[in-house]
Amino acid sequence: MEFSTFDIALFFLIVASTIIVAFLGARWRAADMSKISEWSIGGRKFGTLIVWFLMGGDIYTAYALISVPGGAYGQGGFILYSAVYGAMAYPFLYYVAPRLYLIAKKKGMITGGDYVRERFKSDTLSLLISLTGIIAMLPYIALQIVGIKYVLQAMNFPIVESYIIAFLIVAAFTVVAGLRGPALGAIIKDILLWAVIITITVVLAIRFDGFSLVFKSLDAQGLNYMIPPNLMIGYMTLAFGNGIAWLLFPNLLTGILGSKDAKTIKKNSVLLPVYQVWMLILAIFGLVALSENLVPNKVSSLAFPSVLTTYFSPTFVSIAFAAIIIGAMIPASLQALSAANLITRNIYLQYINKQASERKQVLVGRISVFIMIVASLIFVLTPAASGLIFYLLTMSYAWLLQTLPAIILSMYWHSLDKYSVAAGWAVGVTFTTYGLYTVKFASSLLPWFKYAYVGLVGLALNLVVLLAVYAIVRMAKIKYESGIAPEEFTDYDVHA
Amino acid sequence: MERGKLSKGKHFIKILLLMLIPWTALVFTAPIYNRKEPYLGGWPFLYWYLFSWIFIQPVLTFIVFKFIDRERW
Repeated sequence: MEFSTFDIALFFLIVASTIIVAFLGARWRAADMSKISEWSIGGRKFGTLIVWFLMGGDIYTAYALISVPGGAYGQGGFILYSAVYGAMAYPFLYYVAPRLYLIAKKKGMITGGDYVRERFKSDTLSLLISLTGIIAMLPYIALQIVGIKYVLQAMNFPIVESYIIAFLIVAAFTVVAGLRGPALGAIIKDILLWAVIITITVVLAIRFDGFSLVFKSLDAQGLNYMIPPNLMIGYMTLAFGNGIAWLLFPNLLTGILGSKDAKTIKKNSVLLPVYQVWMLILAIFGLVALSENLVPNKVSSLAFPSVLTTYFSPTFVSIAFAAIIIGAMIPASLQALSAANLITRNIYLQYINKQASERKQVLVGRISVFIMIVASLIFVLTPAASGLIFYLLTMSYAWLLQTLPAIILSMYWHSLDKYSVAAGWAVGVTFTTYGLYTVKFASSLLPWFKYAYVGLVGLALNLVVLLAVYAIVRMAKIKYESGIAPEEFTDYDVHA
Repeated sequence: MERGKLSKGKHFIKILLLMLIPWTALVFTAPIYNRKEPYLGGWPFLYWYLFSWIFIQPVLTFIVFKFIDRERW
């Protein structure tokens, strides 16, 4: 596709405006940036609408825009698990997140690691949980970088140079504005993406008679768009496992902790599921690419770009591409920020400098953002490391699930001790790593176990070990502490 | 009664509406809803069923928000 100078200018105008807005975030609801909670979680001031944009902007990323249509193109209905796991996660968000938010606010916690440290009075357990989070964020950021590759390619930009520039800019505005940067940028990103997706949907729905012609044509060609029966267990366990792992993602936790009150989170559990429409619609875009045979060389990641370039004018395509680019930059910012918070609070403050002032913590946080972005770029750009990032990716989701007892169960199960949690975590992480090794890290489903999702099998083992150690700790009367009294937990705002 | 102290029955209804019903409908019954018939507007059952749940679920959550937790929007 040929782009005119006007199209290219429009593309840059959209991307540049978003970047400027993200930088201006620093001045938004002017704050004292020497305070760690102001920089890292926006001072817990965000209302329903901002949290909606921030969390929506973070969950529904450029990677989703590329991978969901790609998945539908390559594997048919199996990819619908991505439309289902949100539905698993939102009720969980409503029930669990306010409790975590309220205790964090009361105790001045900024990360999941802060919570674990206080709840179990254990620096070591906090470190294990925090490292799991940091390692999980790295491939996630790298994924955003890879997500824009196909756009840069289609626009004939030099790919490597563009990556580097784009993500150094991400580092810059995150360093300057903290959480306010991606929060403000997310508003533009999401309004633009909603507009783009709705436009594509309307145009294609008219062309394909409400998409009914797509399904007819797939049937006629004998192409699959249902869930393959042999992957049914995989579909269910993946939807279930990812759904409950969701809250454990440090980037989502950062969005949750930035909320104004617990009610804001509950309201968002009602409003955020609307975004799930994207997943289903994007899967159908992938089916359009499949039925019309639009994808060159059957590279499934090209499904979405191919649909765009086939049915739309260069001007619209350049707007959509700009939306994908900022759809990668904004989430990457939040992901780098949340990893930086973990590094600052749960490594630097706990292990390196226990007396660090808030000003010093902000400085370390800023340096860590930069390190996370650069590390992700290195992973993407060096061939030797880029293979590793793929391993990390399959591992990180499954590993995060193993932090469920430490972060979530411990809020409800007041006598849960650090020994049980640590033992369960160790077995869960070891099993998932071994499980992934048996499939050469090429998938997260285990063919030798009915294609079950490795993370969920790991969690089951994790819980079995946890229960066994729990029993031993009690029988041997081993002492342990909690820094949070059971009655300090609540699910409701006190002032409301 | 103190705010937020739900009776056992109400707490069960909360968990039922919030989690058990949608999880059953969307995850555990996947082998049942993975079917083409009946079609609706040319869409196979699998697709329009999942599509409608995107809107049913927030309604269930809202019912919990409004009538069980008695929060004001």
